[in-house]
Amino acid sequence: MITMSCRISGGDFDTAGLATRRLKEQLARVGVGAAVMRRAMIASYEAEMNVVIHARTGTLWARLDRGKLDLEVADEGPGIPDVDLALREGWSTASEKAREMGFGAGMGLPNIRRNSDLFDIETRIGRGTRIRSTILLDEPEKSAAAAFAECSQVPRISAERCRKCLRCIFACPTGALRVHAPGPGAISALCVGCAACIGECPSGVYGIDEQKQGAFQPPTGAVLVVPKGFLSGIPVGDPERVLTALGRLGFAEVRMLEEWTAAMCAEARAAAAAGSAPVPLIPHKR
Amino acid sequence: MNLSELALKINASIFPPAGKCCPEVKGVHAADTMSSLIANASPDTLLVTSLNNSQLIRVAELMDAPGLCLVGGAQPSSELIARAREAGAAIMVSPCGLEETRRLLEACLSGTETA
Repeated sequence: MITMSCRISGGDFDTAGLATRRLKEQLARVGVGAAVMRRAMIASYEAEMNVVIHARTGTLWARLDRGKLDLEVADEGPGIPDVDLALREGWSTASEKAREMGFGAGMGLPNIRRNSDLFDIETRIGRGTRIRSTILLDEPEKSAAAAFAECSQVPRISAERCRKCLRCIFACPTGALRVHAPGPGAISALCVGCAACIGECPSGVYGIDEQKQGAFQPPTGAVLVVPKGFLSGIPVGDPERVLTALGRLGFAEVRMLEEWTAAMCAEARAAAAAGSAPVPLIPHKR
Repeated sequence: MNLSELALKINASIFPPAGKCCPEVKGVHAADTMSSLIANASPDTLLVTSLNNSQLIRVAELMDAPGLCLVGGAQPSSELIARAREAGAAIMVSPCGLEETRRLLEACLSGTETA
């Protein structure tokens, strides 16, 4: 575990960034990985510069423990009248001097939030602002999540071809599709790139973006959940060939949606039952 | 590509970092705001900017950026050069503007530059 704190002087652009440099030295000493270091430097520097630009004085605290890095920057400054507005990209109240130096682009708080796993602002007008940023150190899990996000290929959609038959809605295993008046759309966060919509649509609304082809790489050990009829819907004759091809793409298993849902429900039931065992608030007297 | 080779190709001058040869770069990022520079900096990205102040060195130092390229022939102060040498970052000075410098550097790095 490491902890550190460092004072930040408001308005002093010469020493600005020294607190973050000290944090970097501490993190480097304990061998923090490059990805976490990068996020920590961006979050810390942006928060430190907020103090320099807007406040009289401030302090950077950092604590590295139990798989996470907690950063806290508290200042004695004017406070933020509208936090939602301050979090909007491009909104800034920085002075002319700060803007001339390249600050005040309204990207500081968004940059901190983007590089934090947990982010929080507490502010009081006329008293000051406290920014908390937590960065998780669990790199393998993080990179798997990032890989999953990258491999999730939202299909190319030619909305003008849509005849509103809604077959795609029922075919999509994750409920990522919506059909509105102008045509269908996909929620990228839900799309797993299974291509069920492509196989189901009779009008050829869906397709794979040519530029994205070849970039598809599921995370190692990923399970592909497909709807009923997915394998037989791919016109290559033998479903075994489809399974082999999916294996070559990197999927460890292919499961049917119904089977997957049943397994998840059973897991959830078991977990709920285990968690609902009554716990006496006052222990029984012997 | 090595920074000194890159400087030669775009007709820029270069102040190398202290005690080591010019680092390799694989990409460039051009911006005139600190937030954009720090958000896109990396150990193999050359930062191109129309800014000219000591906080540039702090950003390069924190993000392990190999160097900074000032544009429009802006002359770095001796203090800026000294801080950059200390931080292990090179400083290039391009005679062209921000966009033109970025375009030239990207062309050099992708091998599509015209003689």
